[in-house]
Formats: sequence, structure tokens, C-alpha cells
Amino acid sequence: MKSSKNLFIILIVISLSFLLISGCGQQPTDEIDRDDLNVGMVFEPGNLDPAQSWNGWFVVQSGMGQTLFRLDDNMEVETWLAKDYRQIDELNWEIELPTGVDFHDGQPMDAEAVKNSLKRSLEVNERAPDLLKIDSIDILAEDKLLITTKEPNPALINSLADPLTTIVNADLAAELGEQFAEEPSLTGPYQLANYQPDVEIVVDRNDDYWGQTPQLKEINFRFISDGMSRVMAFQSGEIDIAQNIPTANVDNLKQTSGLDVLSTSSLRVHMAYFNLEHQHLDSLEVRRAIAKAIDRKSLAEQVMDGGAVAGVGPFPLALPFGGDELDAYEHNLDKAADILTVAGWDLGEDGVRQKNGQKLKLTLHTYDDRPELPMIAETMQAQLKELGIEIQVKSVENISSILDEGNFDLAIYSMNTAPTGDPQYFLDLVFKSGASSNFSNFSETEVDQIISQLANTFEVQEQQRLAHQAQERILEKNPNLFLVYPKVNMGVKEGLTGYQVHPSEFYIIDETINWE
Amino acid sequence: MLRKGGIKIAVQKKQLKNKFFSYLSTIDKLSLIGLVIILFFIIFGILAPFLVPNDPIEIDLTQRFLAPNGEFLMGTDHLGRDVFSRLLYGIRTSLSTAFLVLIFSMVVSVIVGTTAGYFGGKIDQLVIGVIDTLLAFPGLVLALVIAGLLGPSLINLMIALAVTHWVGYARIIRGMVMSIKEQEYILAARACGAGDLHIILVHILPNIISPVLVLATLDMGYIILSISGLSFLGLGAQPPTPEWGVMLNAGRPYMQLAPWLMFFPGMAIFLIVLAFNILGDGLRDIFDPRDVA
Repeated sequence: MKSSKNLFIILIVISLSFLLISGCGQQPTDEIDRDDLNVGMVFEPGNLDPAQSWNGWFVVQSGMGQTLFRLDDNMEVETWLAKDYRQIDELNWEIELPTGVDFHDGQPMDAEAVKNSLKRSLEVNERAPDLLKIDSIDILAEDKLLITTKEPNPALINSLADPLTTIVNADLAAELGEQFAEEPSLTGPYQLANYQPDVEIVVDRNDDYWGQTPQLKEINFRFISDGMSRVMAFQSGEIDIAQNIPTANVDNLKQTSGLDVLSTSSLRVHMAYFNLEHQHLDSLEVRRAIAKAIDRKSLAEQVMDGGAVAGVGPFPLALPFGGDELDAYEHNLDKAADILTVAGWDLGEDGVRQKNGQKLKLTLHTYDDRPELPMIAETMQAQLKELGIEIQVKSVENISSILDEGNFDLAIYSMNTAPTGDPQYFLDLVFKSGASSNFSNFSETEVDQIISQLANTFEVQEQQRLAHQAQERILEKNPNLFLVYPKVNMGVKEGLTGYQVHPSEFYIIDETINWE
Repeated sequence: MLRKGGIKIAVQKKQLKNKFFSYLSTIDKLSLIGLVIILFFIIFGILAPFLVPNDPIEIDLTQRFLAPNGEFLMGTDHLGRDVFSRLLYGIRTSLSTAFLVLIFSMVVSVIVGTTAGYFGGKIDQLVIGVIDTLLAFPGLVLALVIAGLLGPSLINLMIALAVTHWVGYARIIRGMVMSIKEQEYILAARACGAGDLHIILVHILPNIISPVLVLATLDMGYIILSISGLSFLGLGAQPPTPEWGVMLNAGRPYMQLAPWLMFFPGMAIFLIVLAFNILGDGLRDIFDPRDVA
């Protein structure tokens, strides 16, 4: 009895102390006399070989790796490791390289090294052959390459800005084998100092960098997948840059002195795949009705606190071929209900529509790595309930495996639609029959034709017209719900300069990053 | 003979009942507070449909993040739902789930524990082997694995908890049965020709019921915590079901913007678990004389 009384007192003391702690704010420090930087990232790369899967993104973001070309703030291509390029004819491109660029291990980056690196990317990365369409690479001189494509590839130069083409010392890679993925030799202003998988990645200054000398001595990357933990690490000063701040916290952080949040419209779309093999979702009417019942505007402005723009088609409006002029699925519950009624789905007594004794019940898979997605799912659930569709939300750890196995009715996913500023990429990846991210199993001859036509078009206006046409066809068949285009929010401590907040999400650190 | 036994049991039962109420009067004040809190929660839970001021599931995106006020006693959440209404419905989810888990664990463990303890021998060895193996895993982790394998849903969560939970009781019940079956009155009953089933039901079970009840009360808090914990991790109740752990998790991104989203469900869990624990403590003081000294 005595012990229970003590227990009670202890519990009360503990709960009160939690209240006290939660009331404390943190004190941002003024002094900036540092030559190091801590960065909180969301996703940890599987390893550091930029040619493998999506690892190149981190390798380029961290300032370790570089590509031949890069995208400027307006998503236009400019040279990076390359010095110049020239298109000879539809299939042949000449690329001129600078002299004096060395890999981290001291080997020079000459035409042969670039050729080997590109060939390695083509062998290792399954997305590379479709993206680059390279047939052969010939060395014209020590600083000159001739790239020949199998078929006309107007997006070749854009594609050479994709991190999977990061230039590595391929000879060393061949020598080291798998170990190369843990100690890659690249060209960037920062080089790998310490790699502890699941813990942190540390890079330090590359004193022999070919461009302007980098300023910071050391940069630590930590991987904090939980949004709120990342925000708190940012507030406590544990990290100086926080990738991907959840929108709900943006205003709060902006008001905190010493901290700032930068937003830019991204090239990302949060969307939902319909499983076209599902017995009810193979019907166009059901998909159209669902598309009309979702209020995208409230998703963007309310659920995401204005941190997003309502979705129309596959491409964000920020892109020149984004869906401004497309026929959107306007939110109209009555029309949605009409479509279903005409298609034979009648409201049952329990408020769920049914046809031939089968109820319109669907699952909706989502994941928490992007904290807004489960909320979007829950709102969709409520909006579809009004239409008479019963949705069961399932929040899972590994959405990719669910999508790969086709084990879903509806599944939310988020993708960067044009990391290289080109419409070809996303259409190829998601909407072409049998494409690697075509999880809906969407197959439409007309769309396939437009996509292959696009691949042979060099003229920008014509490209945009075709991209527009493809989107129209896609929206007509509606294999995906395009929900919102989120903005990119990056938390940055005041006093830091030279970081990048880029729509493509490729670049964060380069040689200019420094404390004021 | 048997009839006589029946009368005797009725008398015993009545005595036990009287004893129970007289014990209740001797229960210390702290435990009484626990009991009152629990009763409050149960009543609120049962009457939830009549008490809630707003629909706990309906989303109203125009009323998000309202601080606690006259209309919304505990404010509104990130989708504009009334936190107070969700909290009240959460009582139903949490308590009924915990109750079902407890009842399942009890039934299984009483059957298995008494069988093993009473008959001994090979059955006992087999049962104790299974129990020891299961006990070697950390319970919550095992539940996490099972719930993860079965997929996220409230039913699967109950299965996961029940599967991992009965072993602890079964072990204790087996021990109690083993010591009781050596008592003289069991020998006497056997000498009178009573069968095994009769002895178990009439002479052994009544003797283990009160300690098991204490155990159950003490454990209720732990089960509620496990349910909330697993739901917090996304393995239990799925949206839009109002459940405290789910509410805590949903409120987490807004911890600084709208602290009431985490404060009230957290408080509810804290209170109900505390109440069950102090009540369990009080009951133990009464029913388990070994501890009173």
C-alpha cells in the first residue's frame, strides 16, 4: 500500500516535469565561427555508388559527385563537368571536356575516364539505357567525346544531368569491385571521409578541387526519416540544414530567430495509382467518379496548409508542359454520384454503393515517410465515403514492395516528374506499357505512340505539344489520381550561404556553401 | 453426497460475496479513487454516443487546429475533428479491445494452467516447455512481429496481444494449482470419490479466482498501454477509428502547433493505466495475505 502511494507521487512528479520540459524553448546561438556543417536528410542511400538505383541523388546532393551537365534554377541545362557540347546530327553529339579535373584518388578525368564512367552507368543502372539511349561512345581526342545514340534522343543533354550519370573513376571501380560502393572516387568539392551505414556519412574538403576552393572543412550527414524528429533536431541546433520540413511546422520555424525555411515549388506530384486489374477499378466510370469526388483544392490548401498546389495532370504547373490547360477532374460530388449510378452502382442502406451484390469497398495504401500522405489518405477516405465508397486506409512501411507486387487497390506514391526538366522521363517511367514504375498496369496504344513520337522530337514547342497530348489521353483513361504538387521546404540555419534549394532536388551542397 | 457438496458451494459463494463487499469497505482510499476513475471511464465509454457533442469521424477542413474552447472542449485536430468526441469513442476502442484480450488470455491460461498443474507429468512438461519458449521472447516485441506479419488492423492486434499474453498467467496458475492440489481437502475430496473435473471446478478454481482477478486488474493497465503503443506505431486501429494511440501519433507532427492533440489522449492513457494499477495494488493487498505483512 505504501509502495502504491509512492508510485503515485513519483508518477505525478514525472508527468509534471514533462509538462515543464515541454514548455521550454531552445536558445539559438549567435556565434558562427565554424567550419563544419550538419545536415539532416530524409532517405539514406543504399550505398554510395551513384550508378546503383537512386544513390546518385545523395551522392550529388552531398557535394561528392558531379555530372557532365546540371540544371539551373529555371531547369535549363548548363555545363558542369563538361566544357561544351555540340549536336552534330540527330544521333551524334560531341562533348568537350576541360583539362585539370581530377578524381578524388588523383587520377585525371579525361575522355577515356568519362567514357568508362558512362558505360558503367549504362551497365549498372536499369533506368540508364532507356534514359540515355546511348549506342556508342568514341574518343575523338583527350578532351573530346562523340556520343552516338541508338535512336534520336533530344533529351540526351538533360539526361546527362541525372545523378545516375555521375562521373566516377570507373577503372578504380572495376578494380575495387563491391568495395567501391563504400569508397567511391568522384570529382566533387567534398570527398568521403567516413561512411557508417545507418549512422552517418561524413565528407571533408577536397583540397584539390578543380573549381573554387570549398570553404567548409567537414560536413556530416545524418538520416532522420521521421519528420517531427528532423524538425526537433533542427530546433535544437543538432542539424543546420533540415531537408523536407513538414509544412505544418514551416510557420513556426520561420518565426524562431536564427532559423529559416526556404520553399520552392517542386517538380513532384503526390498521386495515387489505381490497380487496373482490380475487378471494380478496371471500370473507367468508377475511376472517373473517384477522380471527381476528390477535392484536390482542400488537400493542397488545408490538409497541406497551403504547402502544395492542387493537382491537375501528371506534371506540376511549374513546368512549361505542366497541366494548366488540361481538362481537370473538377471536384463535383453530384456528378461523381451520377456517373456511378448510371454505371449501375446504387447506394445501399449502409451508405455503401453496390452492384450485383458486390459492395464498392477498396483499400488505400499509404506510407509515413512523407508525413502528409497518411493525412491525405484519411481525407480521401472521408471524401469518398460521401460518394458511397468504403475505403480502408492501410499505412505501410514499405510501399515499394506493395507496388511491385501489385498487391493494392489504390496506393499513394510521390514522384519527381521531371528531374531533368524533360517530359520524356516521367511518361516513359510511369505510363508506357510495361514501364518499370507503371504499377497501374496501364497500357494504351495511343499513349505509347505519343511517347515514342516525343522521343524523336527535337523541337521544344513540338515536344510540349506532344507532352500535352499525352497528358490529355492519360487523363481520359485516368490510371492515376494526380492529387497535389507539393512544395519543397528546407530548413536552414541563418548565417549559412551558398546552399541550393532546387526544384529537381538534386543539389544541396556545392563548393560555395559557407558560414557568413 | 454431491447435492450436499452443491449446498456447501452455494454457502461458500455467498460467504465469498459477503467477504468481497466487506473487503471493499476495507480497501484503501487510493484504490477507491482508482476504482472511481475506471467506473467513470466505463460509463463515459458506454454512453459515448449520447454524450459526444460532435461526430468523431466527420472531417471538417474549415475547423482545423481550433484550441480548446466552449464548443470543442479539447479543441479540434488536423482534420477538423472534435478531439473530445474522439477521446470518448476512444474509451470504447481501448477498453473493449483490452477486455477481449484479457478474457481470451484468461480463459486459455486457466484451461492450460490448471490442466498442466493438476495432471503434471508429460502434459506438464509439454506445456511448461511451450510457455518457457514463449516467455523467452520479449512479449511486446513478439506482439509487434505477429501484428506486423498479420497486417495492420485492430483484430490482428488483439490476436497478437492475446497470443503473447496468456503464457504469463498460465505459468502462475499452474504454480498455484500445483500447491493447492497437495492440500488435505483435495485429498479428502479424492478419498470421497470425487472425479478430476469435479475437483478442479469445485475445489481448485474458486481458490485461484481471486489472485487471478488481481493479476488481471494489474495487467489491464499494461494491455491498454500495449494497445496504444502498437496503434501508435500504426499496427493497431486504422484511421478513422478513434483510438488514443492513433490520436497521439496523428498529433505528433503538430506537437508544437497544437499541443492539445497529444496532451489529451496522453492524459487519458495515463489516467486509465494509473487507475488500473492502483486498483490492482489495492486488490492485491486484500486478496494476497502474503503481501500485507
